[in-house]
Amino acid sequence: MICQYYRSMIEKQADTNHAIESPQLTAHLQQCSACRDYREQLTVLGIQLQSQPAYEISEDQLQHLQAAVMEQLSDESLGQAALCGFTQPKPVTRFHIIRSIAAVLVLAAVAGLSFRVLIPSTSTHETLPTPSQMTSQFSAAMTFPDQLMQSEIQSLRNDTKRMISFLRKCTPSSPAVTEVLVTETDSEEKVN
Amino acid sequence: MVTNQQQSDEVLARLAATGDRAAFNELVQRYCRPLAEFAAARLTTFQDAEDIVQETFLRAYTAMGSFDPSYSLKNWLFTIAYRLVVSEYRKKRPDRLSEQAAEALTEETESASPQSSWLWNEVRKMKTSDHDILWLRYKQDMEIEDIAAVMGKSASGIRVQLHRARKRLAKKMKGADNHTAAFQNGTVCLERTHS
Repeated sequence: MICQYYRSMIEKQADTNHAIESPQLTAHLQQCSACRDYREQLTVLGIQLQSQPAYEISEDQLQHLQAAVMEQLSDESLGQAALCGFTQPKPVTRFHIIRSIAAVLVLAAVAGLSFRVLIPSTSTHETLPTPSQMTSQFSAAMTFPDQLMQSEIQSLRNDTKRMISFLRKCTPSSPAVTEVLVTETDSEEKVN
Repeated sequence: MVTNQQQSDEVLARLAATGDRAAFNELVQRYCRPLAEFAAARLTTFQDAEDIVQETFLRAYTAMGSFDPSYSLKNWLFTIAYRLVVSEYRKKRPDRLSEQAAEALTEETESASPQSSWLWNEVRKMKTSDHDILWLRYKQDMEIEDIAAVMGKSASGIRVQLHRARKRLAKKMKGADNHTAAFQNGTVCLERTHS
């Protein structure tokens, strides 16, 4: 356990370029040969990794590369871009114009659709029957025992329910909605 | 009068940001070799490494105006190069190539580093991140914090990975007795023994 602590310290020493002096470690190394070996092996590995060739490029390759790097920067306008910290703007082509127009059209279509969905037009409100009209429609429908008429009534009731739920969403506290709800409840009771 | 060769990186970076091409040329002279060797050791062909180095300096040049001189220029250049190398490596990963292309690439990789020592060839066979950490630590003398900044990882993570990489390398060396003749002691063992 003690050695583990000191070996962590040895590794920290190996991981930094600055010398870390520790009297405790020095004292431990004087009496522990295993940790001394450990430090030596770590040092040797480090020296080997530093000194042995990994991938060395030739002088010719280096000069060719340096020339290529400077050549690509020879454009004066690019040099000016470095001053401002941004790259040279690309020229506008016909493709860019068509793409921009298409993007505007798509945005307009999406905006129009959103407007249509989120804010219903006034004409929709105008076509909606008033609560009293709906009640009379229900009453009239109730007097016909015919099967076809019954399905019509059911369809009408479904439409009404949908409309009520829509109104609830739009204006939850509106007195008109409350009136419709009351009428609808009454109608249901009558049917039952 | 102080010449460009005597100036620090940060002063040269400031000069380059004002459009001084000679100052930027001096930076190219200083960092072309380490960047090229780093990229060449990591990638399969020297041509790829050349592209990476050119792109690194181009990006550095165009963004020099936004470079903060309080940071190390060396770390900044290596960060750009590292990201480009990672991106390039992903594009040419052997598992994304056809069988034939992968085979050709493997042959090319094996013959790509004729000057490399046995030790560094072993490092190249390790995980790419292990290779990068060992390279930056031992070939560029970077501190753990600098390596972490370049690779976009935490310093503690890099420390642990470096320790493990050294341990794996020591194991490989131990297992290959024939090759350890070139190694000083031949008995490298970084296994921790508890006492």
